[in-house]
Amino acid sequence: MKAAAFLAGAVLLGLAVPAAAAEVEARAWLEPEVIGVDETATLSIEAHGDDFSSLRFQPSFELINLEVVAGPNKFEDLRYSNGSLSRTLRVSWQVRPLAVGKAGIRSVSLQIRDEIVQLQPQEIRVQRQPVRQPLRRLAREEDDPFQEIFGRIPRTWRQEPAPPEVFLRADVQPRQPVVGQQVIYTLYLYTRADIAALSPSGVPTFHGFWVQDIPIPQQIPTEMVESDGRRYGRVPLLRKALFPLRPGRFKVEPAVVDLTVQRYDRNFFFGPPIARPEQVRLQTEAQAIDVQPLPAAPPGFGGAVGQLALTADLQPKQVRLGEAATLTVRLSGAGNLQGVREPDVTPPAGVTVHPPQQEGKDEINGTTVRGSRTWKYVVVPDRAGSYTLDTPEITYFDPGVRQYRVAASPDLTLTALPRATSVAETAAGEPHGIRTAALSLPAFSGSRWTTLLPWLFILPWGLALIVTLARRRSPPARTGGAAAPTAAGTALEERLRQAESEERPRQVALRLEEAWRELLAERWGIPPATPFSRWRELLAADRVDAGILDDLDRLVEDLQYLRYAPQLSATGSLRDEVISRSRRLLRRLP
Amino acid sequence: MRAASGWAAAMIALFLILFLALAGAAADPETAMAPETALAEGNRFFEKDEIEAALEAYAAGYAGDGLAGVLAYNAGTCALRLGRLPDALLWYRRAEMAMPGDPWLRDNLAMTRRALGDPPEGAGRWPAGRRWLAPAGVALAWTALALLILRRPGAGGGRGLLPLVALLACAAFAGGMLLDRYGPRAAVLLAPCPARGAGLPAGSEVRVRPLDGGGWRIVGEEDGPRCPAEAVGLVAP
Repeated sequence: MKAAAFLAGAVLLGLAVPAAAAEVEARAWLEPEVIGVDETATLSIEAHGDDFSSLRFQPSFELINLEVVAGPNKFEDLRYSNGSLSRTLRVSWQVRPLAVGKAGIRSVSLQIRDEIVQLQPQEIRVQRQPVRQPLRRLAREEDDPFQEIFGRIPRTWRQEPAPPEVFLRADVQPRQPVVGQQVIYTLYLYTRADIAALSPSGVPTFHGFWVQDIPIPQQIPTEMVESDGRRYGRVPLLRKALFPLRPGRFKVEPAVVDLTVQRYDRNFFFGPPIARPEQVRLQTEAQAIDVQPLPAAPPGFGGAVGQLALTADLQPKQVRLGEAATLTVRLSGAGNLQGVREPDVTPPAGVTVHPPQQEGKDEINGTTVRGSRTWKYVVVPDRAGSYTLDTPEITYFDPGVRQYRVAASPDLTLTALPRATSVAETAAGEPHGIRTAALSLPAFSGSRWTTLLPWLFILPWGLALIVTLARRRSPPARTGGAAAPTAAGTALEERLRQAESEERPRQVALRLEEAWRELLAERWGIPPATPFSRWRELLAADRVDAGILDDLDRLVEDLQYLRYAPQLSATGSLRDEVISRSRRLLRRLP
Repeated sequence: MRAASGWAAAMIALFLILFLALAGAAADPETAMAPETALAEGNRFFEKDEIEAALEAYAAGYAGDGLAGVLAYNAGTCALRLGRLPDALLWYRRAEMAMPGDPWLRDNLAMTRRALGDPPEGAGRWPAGRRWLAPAGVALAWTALALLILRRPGAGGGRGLLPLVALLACAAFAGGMLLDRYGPRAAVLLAPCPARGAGLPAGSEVRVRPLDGGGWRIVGEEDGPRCPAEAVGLVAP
């Protein structure tokens, strides 16, 4: 504290200084203007504003030839006048001079909200002799000027004034909220009298609740309501949003307000009514709030209560490897978002999501507290590709419908492009461009021929069917014979017919042998002089079926028997058998 | 004689049934745009640097016919330009079926796979021998026809060989076609799919089997959860 010598006797009154803040005025003053060196003065700094609930300031000053002996004393005043509320916050110190002469303060400044308000310096004069302090006159009954003139009129002749028609009432809505649900507490003033000033001297502490002030509008609309058959003007003095922190029955203490009511008395017949201020202390009744517990919570419920909505945004939606995107998740709505935990974001494989940064704000919209919480996640793709980020869901309790709900937002897609260097890795440095025309492709390349596969498969079966049918329809095929008839075959047929009419066995054998030699010569090129024993060998070399060769061997044996054993009497049946066998064999030949 | 006529009638009826079934199955798939028109339209958009529109045009004309390779390649290049690597990989895989030896396609496909970080292939690449099963059946069928024509009645050498070849032809062709239609199908994951471990990322080349009720199951992940239909792009749709 810095003290300096000043000329005693100088007095400067505090001047009102308009504050930089639009709705707040501030001033500082020292009183009285002249004090004795053994007396004290009062240093007061006052801010006056229209805001009911949030007037605060931080003073700073330098004392000259003074020192503080008491204080600071804080005085707060709330007034309702002409339909609007005003609030005054005053801080005062008792100071005493250090020496005769000038004393005062300088470098006076106030920090109101975020602004610094400079106030003018103040001075008083300090004299050696004590100065009698003027007493403030109080408005009392004895101050009545008519009494001073006409003397005191006996009380029995005068009508005792009725108590002022004014009372307080506290309102709580709803009275049975669930934990976390907003409750509105409103303190109303009901009056039929003129209110000169009011000052709340007892505000409930609201234990068990998270409390948010709801500002009262500057111009309060006075509504007329009826109570006990009489009409009153009702004015809200105080409004708070309460959020129960736990279930149970809570008692809200009474609110106490000191009022100055303007009374008008007629103390003399012909005199005008005399206005007299009257101090009244009013008090509400204690209020009970029965806080209900929340129903059994589903998994993932973090305590959010209200009507909430969730949004999610990803910026940018396309990054290159090595870059990061920001996932912004915002939960907002009417309700208490205190204590809501950050939502879990489960990244897909190939993406890393870092822990979020949180921002939060609670604001008043009318009588509703609206909160918002924003979480910002850094999302880093580990490899190129397109990823779907499942945005989190937040479960909350909606007290309006008394059930749990889920706030969610659509999933987001993050595209991670390759690094610039990975493109440069190719030989050309960039991917090849498009092709503007069809390519000439090898005949059997690509997938086109695969579509022809079924046709290529079925075609041979169709051709096979045709071949088979054609063979079946040809005459040789139907008789079971060999291929096209040959001259030798025809001759053999003719010899067989002749043999049937020949009675001599040797002649039959010779004719058949000769015919077979001609046939073998023509069909397989076996010389006619080839002995029987080599027929099988030569025909087998031409891949004639073994069964046919076996039959041919048996036929040759029978022919030789007929040729060299004709003396036997029973050759008729053998001859027929040889002819028949020759005919069957002829049919089987290829 | 009567029995032979009945057998021939049955053969003809069977052939006609097969012919009609194949004619219906082999009809060209419907496309939103004629391939030639789609190619020209896509090229025009690409020239104007409207890559998204070009991709849509190429995709609309893709139908697996003669221009399919170029259309698929161009669609893949558009997807690559747009940074949609899994889509680019899918289109390049489709183009690879149509023009397997194309050098531009080979380069871009390799670059796309590298850019995707060479994601795990699962059991994904198409087994080389399997695609030749149905063509082998066709070749055997033609061999059987040749044997039938060349065989002379009464010739003993080919009597047991012809039925064997015919049987092998039918088995190979049926096996190839059934595997193509009902067996595991080559696919590219367009979105991450749940699987054992950390799951498979988008761009993985896998083989999938269809599931009742929609969705796909990744071969090798038979015990894993189903993969949603929109997350799987079939190489041969």
